[in-house]
Amino acid sequence: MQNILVCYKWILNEQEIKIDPNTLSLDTSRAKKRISEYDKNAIELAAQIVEAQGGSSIAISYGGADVKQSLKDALARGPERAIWVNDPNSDKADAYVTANALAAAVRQAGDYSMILCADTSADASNQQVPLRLAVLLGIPAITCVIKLDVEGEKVIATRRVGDTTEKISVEGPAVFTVLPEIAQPRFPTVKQVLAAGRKPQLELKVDDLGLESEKLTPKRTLREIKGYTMSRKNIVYKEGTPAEIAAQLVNNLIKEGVI
Amino acid sequence: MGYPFTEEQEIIQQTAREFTQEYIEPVAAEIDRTALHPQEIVHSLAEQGFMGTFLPGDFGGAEAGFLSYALIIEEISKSSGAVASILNHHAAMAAYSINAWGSKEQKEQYLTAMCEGELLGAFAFYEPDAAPGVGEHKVIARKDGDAYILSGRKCYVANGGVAGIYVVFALTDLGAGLKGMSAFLVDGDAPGLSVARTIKKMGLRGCQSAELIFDNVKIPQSSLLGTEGAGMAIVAKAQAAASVAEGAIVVGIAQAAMDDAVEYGKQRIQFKQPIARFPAIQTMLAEMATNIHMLRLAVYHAAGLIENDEPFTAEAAMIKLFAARIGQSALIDVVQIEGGYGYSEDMAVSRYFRDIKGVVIKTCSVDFPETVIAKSLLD
Repeated sequence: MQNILVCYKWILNEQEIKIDPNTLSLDTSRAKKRISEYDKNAIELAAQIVEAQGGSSIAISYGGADVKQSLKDALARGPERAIWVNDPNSDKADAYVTANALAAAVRQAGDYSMILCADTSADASNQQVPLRLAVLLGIPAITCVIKLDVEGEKVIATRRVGDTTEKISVEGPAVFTVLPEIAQPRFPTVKQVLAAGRKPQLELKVDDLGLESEKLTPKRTLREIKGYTMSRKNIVYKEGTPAEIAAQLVNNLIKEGVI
Repeated sequence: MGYPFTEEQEIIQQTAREFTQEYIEPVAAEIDRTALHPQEIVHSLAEQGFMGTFLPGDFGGAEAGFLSYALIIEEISKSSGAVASILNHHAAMAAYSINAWGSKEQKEQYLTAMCEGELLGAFAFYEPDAAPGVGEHKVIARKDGDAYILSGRKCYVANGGVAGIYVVFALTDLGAGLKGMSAFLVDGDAPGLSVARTIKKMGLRGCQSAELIFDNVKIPQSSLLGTEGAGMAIVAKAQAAASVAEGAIVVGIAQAAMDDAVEYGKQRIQFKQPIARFPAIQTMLAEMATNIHMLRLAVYHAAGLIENDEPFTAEAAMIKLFAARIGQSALIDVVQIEGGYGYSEDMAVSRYFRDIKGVVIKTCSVDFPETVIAKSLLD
């Protein structure tokens, strides 16, 4: 039986962020928050393992006051309880701070046999927190997992590495970062949503985790966020026959290194 | 959070949105083209718990309230008014009536199966050629010992022919006019019940409408819903509840159409600039955005009244009146903005246009909404 911790991030819905075409500044005023899409795959995997093997899963997230809104959403997807690591300064946190806070919370969460994380987040895409978490907890990290088989105490992870796959066997607690194809998240049913409100939620204030202030001081300073726009060359091929125009296009694409 | 929603309502709304995008949007145009009842989609709705959203937990429902139901209906309508109508006739008309008026035994027999999607509900009220209980084909229920025998015809029965349970209205007292109307629960496979024809419609095509023949359909006395003569009270209440949800359908369709028009307006270049920059286009968009917003708030408010078991018939009539006006005007403006493209069947707008018309006319109430509203002011 597995006791699984599954990490998730509560992020702005990127589809609702508007970019000012002139200043490239982001308008997030109308963007709602949601569980990072890739994290839903990890939560679903935890639910499937528990359904098949027994055990339990706990959802855990680090963030500010707004993360409280995410707990029922996470719980509706399967976990038996949720832990919210509340840090009022989380908007300035980097992967270093996030991993420190999560590691401290994990140590308080009790016994666990595996920690599941998405391979990346849908907003920052730093891919750092799971690996830092593993280092801090002193347990192995297995990345890019597309299949997870539990055989008694042993967990066999199939990793996707470029065009190949490799299988890794591990015993004892480990962090697994999973790719989206590992488990297609189901939509929570109406009954599951309502039942989520009856599941236990635990708030851990970051100041109560016993971390030195240095551990909660970001190593990285975010200076600016701007929208990304693709600059287009706007070349229009007007002269020549269709065959000549096609040749010009192909030559230019070769010159640009596109083909 | 939007409107004063609970966290649960927000999650249900978001889930319904994502569910609709994944399961309904890809097949919405095909459902319209083929006009076939989308059984697989209905099955998915049941799995998701949408078929019994507001029904009591004791009978298999989710007990999530009518506002959650309205949110689900609105989201589904953004992709398919037909699927939303199937759900609405099942839930807000048939299941709502059984829940409000049914005996414990009737609820146990039907509601659990309706929540689980094993039984689709339908509401058989209208009759060919004349108002119910008046014309040549009126459905009459004759008492025969411990049974009733139903004969006559019903028409425009949404979910007709695919439903497993019908709430059927029939005269039990021929001399009492509409006061002699009673409601009965009739199984879809009852001997003597047959489909005369399915009705080809302009819109809401996947929501099958049928004309039904009741040829001496014998049903036990226990099939009576409520009491003899309670038929019109059941109709009025169910139609009022359904009107609120139909307001949500109009909101959903109109919102989808407006979103289409906004995108089109940004991309369509005329006189070297996007047409969305023209004041005439902006005026139309502003008007429809305002109307949709107002209707949406009215729907949420009335759904809250239903949920809290407070009087809601006047508010439901206001929704019916307003939805009919603004739904059609929004779609006329969207077609105008999209011009020739909007008029073509290549775009979803023509489907939205046909569907929204169906929503605002198909369940015309016994009284005009103006009458209901005025009555609430003057009585």
